[in-house]
Parts: sequence; C-alpha cells; structure tokens
Amino acid sequence: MALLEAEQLVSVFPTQGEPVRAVDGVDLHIDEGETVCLVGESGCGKSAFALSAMGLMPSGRDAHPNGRLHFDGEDVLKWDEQRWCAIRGRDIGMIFQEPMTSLNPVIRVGTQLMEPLLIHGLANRTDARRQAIEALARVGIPQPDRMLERYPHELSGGMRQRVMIAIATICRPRLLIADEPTTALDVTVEAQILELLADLKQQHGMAMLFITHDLGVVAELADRVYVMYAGQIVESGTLAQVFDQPGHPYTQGLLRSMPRRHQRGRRLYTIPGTVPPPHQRPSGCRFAPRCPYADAACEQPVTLRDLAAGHTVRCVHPDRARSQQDE
Amino acid sequence: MNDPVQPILAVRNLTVQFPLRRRPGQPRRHVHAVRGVSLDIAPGETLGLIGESGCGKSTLARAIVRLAPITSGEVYLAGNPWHNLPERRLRPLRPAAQMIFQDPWSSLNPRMRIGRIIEEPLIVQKRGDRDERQATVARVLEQVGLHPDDAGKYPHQFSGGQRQRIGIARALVLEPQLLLADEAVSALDVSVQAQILNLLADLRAEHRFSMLFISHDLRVVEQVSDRIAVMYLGKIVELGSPEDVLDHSRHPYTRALVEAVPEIDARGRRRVILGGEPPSPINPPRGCAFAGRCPRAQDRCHTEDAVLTGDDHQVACHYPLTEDPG
Ligand SMILES: Nc1ncnc2c1ncn2[C@@H]1O[C@H](COP(=O)(O)OP(=O)(O)OP(=O)(O)O)[C@@H](O)[C@H]1O
Ligand SMILES: Nc1ncnc2c1ncn2[C@@H]1O[C@H](COP(=O)(O)OP(=O)(O)OP(=O)(O)O)[C@@H](O)[C@H]1O
Ligand code: SF4
Ligand SMILES: [Mg+2]
Ligand SMILES: [Mg+2]
Repeated sequence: MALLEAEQLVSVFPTQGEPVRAVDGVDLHIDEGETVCLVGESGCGKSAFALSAMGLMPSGRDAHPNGRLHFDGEDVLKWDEQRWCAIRGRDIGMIFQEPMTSLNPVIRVGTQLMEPLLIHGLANRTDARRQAIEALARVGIPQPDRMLERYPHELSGGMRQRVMIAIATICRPRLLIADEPTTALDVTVEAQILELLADLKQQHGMAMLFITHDLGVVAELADRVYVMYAGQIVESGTLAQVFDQPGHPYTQGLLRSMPRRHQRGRRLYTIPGTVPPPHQRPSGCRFAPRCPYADAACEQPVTLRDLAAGHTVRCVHPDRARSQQDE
Repeated sequence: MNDPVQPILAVRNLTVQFPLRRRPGQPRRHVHAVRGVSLDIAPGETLGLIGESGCGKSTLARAIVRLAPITSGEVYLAGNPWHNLPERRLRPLRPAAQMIFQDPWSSLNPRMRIGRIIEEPLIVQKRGDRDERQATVARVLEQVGLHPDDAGKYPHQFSGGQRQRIGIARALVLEPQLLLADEAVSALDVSVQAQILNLLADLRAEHRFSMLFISHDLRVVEQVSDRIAVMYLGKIVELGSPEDVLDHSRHPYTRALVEAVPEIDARGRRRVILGGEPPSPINPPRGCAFAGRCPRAQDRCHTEDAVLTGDDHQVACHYPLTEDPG
C-alpha cells in the first residue's frame, strides 16, 4: 500500500476572482521508503501539491468530487485541523521552498528546533535540547550547542537550510516533503545535504517527495519521477524510463534545456512560449501551444496512458517525441 | 594578464569585516567576509564567481557596488577610485554598476507598476523628461523580451522568469558598464533559466557590458563566463579560463567543487563528497583556509598563507595539483 496516494486531486487557491486550480487532477503515489521527485516549470503547481499533501490547502471534496488523498490508508480529506496538527511535523515533515518564510528570524534556532518535540509530547525540555543538538550535528553544523543560541537571520543560506532540515526531521517523520531544499545552495553543500537525506531515508526508511528543477539532482536521487505541467502530471515512471525514454515532448524539452558541463558559450535550448496561466489553460493538451508535434488530435483533452509498466504519459504522440529523441 | 586595455572593474586587496555584537568582557569580534580580494574585469568580459555558501561572494559584489561597507582596499571603476567616495559623490556614478538580485519576488516593490519600477532609477538620476523616460522604459522592456504594455502591470501579474526579466530591465535601463548578477538565475527552473542565460548573452553581445556572474551552479557559470574565479573563506583561491579552472583545476578545493556537480549523465552516482565545513569566518585560521579539509595538506599549509600566484591561470595553494590524473 502506498504511504501517500493522490488520485484526481484538485486543490484551489481561493482568490478574489475565480479560484485558481493550482493542482488540477493529479495522480501520484509514494511508497514507504521511496524517493519520488516532482519536476516541472515554475507555476505548474508543485508547491501547491506539496501544501495539499500537508493539509495546508483547500483541496477536499468541495474542490473536486472525485479527488482522493490518502496517507497511510487514511482518507486525509476528512481530517480536521486538529488531526492535521497531530500529524504535521511528526509523521510528515516539510522543508519549505523559502526558508525565511518558515524560519522565524527573531526566534532562536534552538527554540524552533525543540518546538515540534515539545508540541507532539515526544520529549521534555532537557531531552528536547539534547535531541536538538544531535539533530544539528547530524546535518553537519559545527559547534551545534552554540547554534542553538543563534537567530536565523544571522546565518548564511546553506546553514539556514540545514537548520530547516534538522527541524523537519527531528521527529523522524515517515514522509519528508522537501520543496526545492537545495536550490539556493552550492554544490558541495548540496551534495552533503542529498547524502544526509539519503542517510535519513536509509536509517529510518523515510519516504521522500523531493521537488526540484535540477534534473541533475533528480538523476542522483530519484527512484521514480513525476513531471508536472499546468496543474497536471504529464509523465511518470522510473528514473530510467523518464530520463532515457521520455515520452512527453515537455519532458524532452526540460532535459534539453538543462545546462550541462562542457557546453561553453553554446546557446541553450529553450522551450518556446510560456506556461499558460491557470485561467487560460487550453482545453486539449495543455502543452499543445508550445509543442513541436501538435496537430488536430491534440485539441481533445488528453488522458494519461501507459507506455510501459509503471511508465505513463499524457500525450497522444509519444512516438513522435521519441523518434526525435533517438536522433 | 598584462592587458593594455583598462579594466572596467579593478579590485585591489578588498577586505570586508562585519562587527559582531560584543559579549561582555570580551573584545569586539568580526566576521571576516572578504579577506583581501584582488581581481580585474575587462570591458565586455564576464567573470564567473563560484564558491561555497557563506564564502563571501555576495558580500564581495555588494562591497563593489558600495552596498556593503568596505573595511580596506580599493575598487576602481573604469580607472576611477570608487571605494572612498562619499555617498553624495557616489550617487551620480552609481548607474555605471548595477546589480541583479537572486530573488525576483522580493526585489520588486509589489505596489509599484512595472513601468514605474523600471523608470525609478532614471528619475533618481534625473535623466530625461517624462516622455523620454517612458520611451526608454518601453525600449528596455522589449529588449528583455517583454511587451511595452506590460509597463502598466504589477509584479504579481508576472511569472518568476518574467520578474527576473523585469529585474534585468531595471538594471539595464541606466546602461551600466558593469552588471553584477548575484545568483540571478538560481531561483528559476531550467527552461526559464535557459531563456534568461540566452537573453544575457544577447544583451551582452549588443551592449558590451562587463559582468560579474555569481552562481553556485558551476554548469551555469561555465556556460556564461570568459574567466572563472573560485572563492573560499573570503579569498580567491583559483582564477583563470573555464578550461584551466574546471578541466585542469590546480586547487584541491576547485577539484572538489567540480566533482560535486550533479549531472544528468551520471545516474545514481554517489558524488565525491567534500567532508567537513569551511572554518568560521569569525576566526579565520592561519595558513591556507582549506587545509583542514584538504587531502593534500602538509604542515606548511596550516601555518603559511597561500598567496594567489601565476599569470593567466592563478592558484593559491602550496601543493597545487599538476596534471589531471583523468
Ligand atoms: N496564494 C496564491 N493565490 C493565488 N494563486 C496562487 C497562490 N500561490 C500560487 N498561486 C498560483 O498557483 C499556481 C501554482 O503555484 P505553485 O506555487 O504551486 O507553483 P510551483 O510549481 O511550486 O512553482 P515554482 O517552481 O515557481 O515554485 C501558479 O499559477 C500560481 O500563480
Ligand atoms: N550584514 C552582515 N552582518 C554580519 N555578517 C554578515 C552580514 N552579511 C554577511 N555576513 C557573513 O559574511 C559571510 C559571507 O556572506 P555572503 O552572504 O557574502 O556569502 P555568500 O558567498 O554570498 O553565500 P551564499 O552562497 O550562501 O549566498 C558569511 O559568514 C555571512 O554570515
Ligand atoms: S499531446 Fe500533442 S501537443 Fe500535447 S505534448 Fe503530445 S504531441 Fe505535443
Ligand atoms: Mg514552488
Ligand atoms: Mg550570496
């Protein structure tokens, strides 16, 4: 049984005008102990999905009658805020995209680190302090006891992100949702943090939803990959399926626009056009206006289809994309 | 190195220290963020700057544009001293060096229309009348791939990549000789990043500005740079052409950086991980700052400063790597 399972999940941002369907029918599952990467262009709904999985977005049945979201077999769309508070930070940890919005700049690191343990009644103060020091040491912070006294605003980006990871994992969650946790970091720290996350995964069987736009990181980390576009999943499969035999033209575009070593001064490939805003999504394939292979068949809504066992794609012409890829 | 062309930017022995709050009964201590950096950027040249988090890259850039206090050392812009100018005399010269920031979200005032955001530097500099300024704004918007009509919109109506274009437009509107891009594409996803990198390449070809390009992504820095500088704990430890620095690294730290790059083609690889932590910039160690993490370190490295030496390919290391072992 999947640890987290979304089916046709819809989540909306209520706005003054028309609500924004940021997550628009997403199917995604994460098994116990598995690392799943979610990639896609800015604004496609990755963070909104992460927030939904933490019960931080209106998703429920009001948003979409067929939408389902299960955690550990339980229907979480039925949970009230009190239930979520008991789960959040304990069973599901989260590292947010912008550390400064989730770390309070004027509260000492130590206090913020001990808080989840105290809130969930997992430790008394003395014990929480000891665990806080251990957690900081685990994420590679030198002199962790002194770090307890410092304020987030005094720290460099890398240090803040380590503190964030220490907080998110201090209760040893079963699922860690990490929203671009290494995007602002340099490669050596990133390598250490990915190793750290891999260790946490191995030692505690922690499952992870890792959101990133760095396909190099995905290549290193992922068991499986989901590619998201305009609120929907457009491709999913094992790392090898998605990276070596991408079936969706969008996945191919992403792979081709990635800067790689030894491409000095060469012009990068860019996907033409931009992501349609939520209220202007095409009724057919949402990628069609940017797609080199689009034709009349793409004007009808496209459903996810199986390319191979465990490899799905939302495209009517995956063969066209693939024959191009082989050239 | 003995380039007869006068550099757009010359930095000499630049030091930036931030005072820390004094603890009772103890002398005041400092964060030694930049520790004696010297570098040149030629007209039209892009110098890439890489290095670990907290090594002082942003502080160096901010000190160059006088947004961070210079403790000692010199900065020359197109040959003119710049480090010691009082704010009053600095202001009319500021247009020459403009910064693009990492965060396209927080660096734009949400309550100002785009046109006004881009026009603002022109107003501050008392350039042109209203009509001329608005014509300039329209032109710059087109240069960065936006529409002149976008001038009437607010920042929240744009995507991250578009906002970064707005940030670039704001930096370009004063026709700077030097652009300092501090992690300008780091927050963007790959396809938008590719657009912005291509845009910067086009603008550079057209306007011939020089650029200090800071990024933690070595693949991006390699893509855009004519030369690359590697920084460690406030100092430049290696400097040279991308080929020299990345393919024939001489400093063990640079080698570690290169090996840490996540690559699509290196599937499931466990990267070679540089252990340990950079030393504290509050108490920089004697000798080479990398010695504590360096596989090649000898006694001398812990006591004797490693000074940046060499001609085109400079390295600050007592026992530099010689030939690429493959
Ligand atoms: N608070 C909000 N109110 C209304 N709309 C929002 C809000 N936050 C995000 N959106 C919209 O919802 C959509 C999905 O946004 P989301 O933040 O999930 O994207 P993302 O994939 O995480 O992008 P990025 O890579 O830039 O982080 C976007 O169209 C965005 O403009
Ligand atoms: N205003 C300040 N007061 C005190 N210390 C500061 C201040 N600004 C920066 N520092 C410190 O100076 C050092 C260099 O910081 P800087 O931001 O320049 O590093 P960086 O190389 O840009 O790092 P990153 O890759 O994380 O952006 C760090 O130790 C940082 O904590
Ligand atoms: S369905 Fe058509 S438009 Fe959409 S990605 Fe496939 S080929 Fe392109
Ligand atoms: Mg996001
Ligand atoms: Mg910085």
